[in-house]
Amino acid sequence: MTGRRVLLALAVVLSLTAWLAAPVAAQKRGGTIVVGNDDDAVGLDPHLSFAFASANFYEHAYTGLTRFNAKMEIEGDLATSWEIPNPTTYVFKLRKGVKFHNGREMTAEDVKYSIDRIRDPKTGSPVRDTYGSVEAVEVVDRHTVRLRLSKPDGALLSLMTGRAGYVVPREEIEKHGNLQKVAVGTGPFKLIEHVSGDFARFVRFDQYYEAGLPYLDGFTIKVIKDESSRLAALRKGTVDLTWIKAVETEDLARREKGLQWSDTPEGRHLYIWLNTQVPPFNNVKLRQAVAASLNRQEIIDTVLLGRGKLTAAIPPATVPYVLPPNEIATLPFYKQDYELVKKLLREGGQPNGFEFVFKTSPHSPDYVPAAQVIQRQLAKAGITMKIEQVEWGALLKTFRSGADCQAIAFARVWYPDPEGYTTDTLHSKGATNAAHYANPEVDRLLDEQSRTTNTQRRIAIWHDLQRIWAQDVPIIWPYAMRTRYNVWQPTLKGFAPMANASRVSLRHAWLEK
Amino acid sequence: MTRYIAARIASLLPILFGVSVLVFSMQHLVPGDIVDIVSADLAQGDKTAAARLRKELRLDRPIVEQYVYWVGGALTGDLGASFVSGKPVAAEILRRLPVNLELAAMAMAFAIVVGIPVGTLSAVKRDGWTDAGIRFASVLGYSLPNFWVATLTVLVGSLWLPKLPILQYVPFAENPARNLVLLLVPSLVLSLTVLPLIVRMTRAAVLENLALDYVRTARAKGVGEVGVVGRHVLANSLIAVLNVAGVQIGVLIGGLVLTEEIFILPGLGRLLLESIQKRDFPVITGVTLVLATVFITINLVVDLLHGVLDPRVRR
Repeated sequence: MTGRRVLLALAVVLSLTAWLAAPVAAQKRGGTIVVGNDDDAVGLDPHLSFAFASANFYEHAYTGLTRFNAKMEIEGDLATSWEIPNPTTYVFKLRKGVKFHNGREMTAEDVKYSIDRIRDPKTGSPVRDTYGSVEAVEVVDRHTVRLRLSKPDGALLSLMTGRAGYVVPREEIEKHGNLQKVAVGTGPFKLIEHVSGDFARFVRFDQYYEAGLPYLDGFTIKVIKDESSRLAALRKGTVDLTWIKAVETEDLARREKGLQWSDTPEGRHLYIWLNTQVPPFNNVKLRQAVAASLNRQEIIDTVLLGRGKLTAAIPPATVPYVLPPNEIATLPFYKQDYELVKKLLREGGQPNGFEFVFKTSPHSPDYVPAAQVIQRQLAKAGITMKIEQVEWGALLKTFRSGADCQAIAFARVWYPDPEGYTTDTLHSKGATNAAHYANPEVDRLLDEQSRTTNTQRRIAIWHDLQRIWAQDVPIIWPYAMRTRYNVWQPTLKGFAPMANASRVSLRHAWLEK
Repeated sequence: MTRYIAARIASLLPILFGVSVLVFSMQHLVPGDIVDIVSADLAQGDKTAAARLRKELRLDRPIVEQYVYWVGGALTGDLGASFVSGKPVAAEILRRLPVNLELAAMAMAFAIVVGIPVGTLSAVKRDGWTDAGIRFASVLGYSLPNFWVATLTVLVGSLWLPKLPILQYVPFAENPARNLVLLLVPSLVLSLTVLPLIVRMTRAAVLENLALDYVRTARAKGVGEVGVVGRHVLANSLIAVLNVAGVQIGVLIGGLVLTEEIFILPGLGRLLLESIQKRDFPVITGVTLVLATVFITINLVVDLLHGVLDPRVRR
């Protein structure tokens, strides 16, 4: 290649780079927006809070070593890179010049302090299990941290991505006791006022480390529990961004001119735990009979207006462990087959059908309609399902206490890794094993995948597990749906909803007015 | 008179004590506590962390012990801290009470200003078309659930009336004019719960008075019809209306939880709803006690006013 051609190629490359680096649309600095949220935070400490809704608030004020991008892939955040020299060692290189909201520089010492804080049983962190395999956190230098593990841990990196990886400043915890009422992190927005049950006001953090971000001067999260009020506020323009839980309301919003929405992968799925220790579901044939009586597509079409997907134990949003869609459709007992049901009932010693109680709550708009469709489908097979509707708190009490009940149903949402979530639900020693399911083979596979760092091997194990559960039916997952339906004003640009119902992309959103 | 007032105020204490026992025990009859509720979506069922949180909130203690601890605080004016926000319950209530007082005052003012003339008109035109129309409208108004009217207002407002000032709130201290404008529509909707009652009460009282001897005397003296109704009858009818209004203002301050929720107003009703859903026991107890106190106090004030307006009561 001659010098000129090299120069030409270089020029082409440079102009391409310049074009790629240039903003796709002209982002504008300034402006504030109002976000309508369905619930308020219960405590703002990312390491301590129990409430799902708290994340909608603290996620803007904190950042961690890694983060999820819009495709739910892990990328560096406070860590610019990391290495795994051997399966029990993780080394993170930290970004330089990162400031906490109180002005102090964040260093490796803070990362160690934050992880040790979660690991300390005295802290009482609900995410302590994340670091169950961590033996020590070591500061190598001001910008390098090393985690030493007692055993290989395949889920560590994805579980750390999120609040368990958030870095907190020690002096603020020493000053306030904890971070439940204040938010001082390294995130793009600072919390300046929080009135419980009403609103929280965030402003731009001028020393945020991603150059030029965020574009917005700030935003207010307004707590609006009533879904139709949220949509009405959006229509009137008193709210710029909100999310919706009921498919019917979402349908209204979609048909409305001038509102924006976007589809994210389905991260929420309905669980029906069948108690495998008491009759009738201590008999696997009868559990299979229930599964084979269901027409899942009909449930999706009726309850979710068609906006749902067939799912196995792992919902579509938890890439890469989800089963391929064409395989899910062919899993055992996934097709309605009343002939098969008859056979299963005979083999299960209940040729004339049987009766059971199904507990759920009107807490989410899809629970009761789903129960009613299932009830009708089962009735055709001679199985009588009695629906018992209880108040949400009462249902959770039954669920947590492990009290005797035959079937209990509610939905759960996306989690960064099946470990610690699905594991906890289906391991014989799991804390949320409401099916009281005990299968030594499953326990063995679950233990194995948690020690495996090879992603391909983990994927294979999780696929096998999902096939076993479809056969054993300790839990029925009738459908998966989106965790939230985000709807926003067309003037808000650059916002990208995520499958885990996170709004962190507000850091690169701007107003076009 | 002073002894009477003192006795009435002293009777507040046993009532409040009773209310607190009732509320405290009733909320523990409902299954589940705040730890169950907030950890619902939590992936890992870390039982040690949950137990720790319960211990911190004293939820692991027997209910009697929890109550005694709470009363100990309440007697010194400390209503405890909210489980949700960690802030003092008294502060949470004081922050929201003004919204309710403002709403109740505006709704009541509207109900009185419109209700008394309409009720009087209905009585004077008894059994005519005007009367029938007013009576029909007031039964209808009273029968419509307020949250339904509120939902409809919000829906219509957001779809077809883009200028209607709803679904926003600005504190009075920040911008008094804007605050009043934004509370106008919600208070009108709220007043629909009281207005029909005032209309009907006024009508009944005016009718009753119109049949009394002093009216005949006044007419015999040659007082015109406007004077008879306006000066004599109405003044005597107001006592009955005052009684209704007094009780209803208590209802307006505390009872219309869903209407507040639908209009997104940061009042006590929303706080109460939220605290019940989240099992925030100190807030439930605190709000209920404050509302009970407001109710009892208003009743007392109404009784005293009764004495001022009607000399017979004082004897």
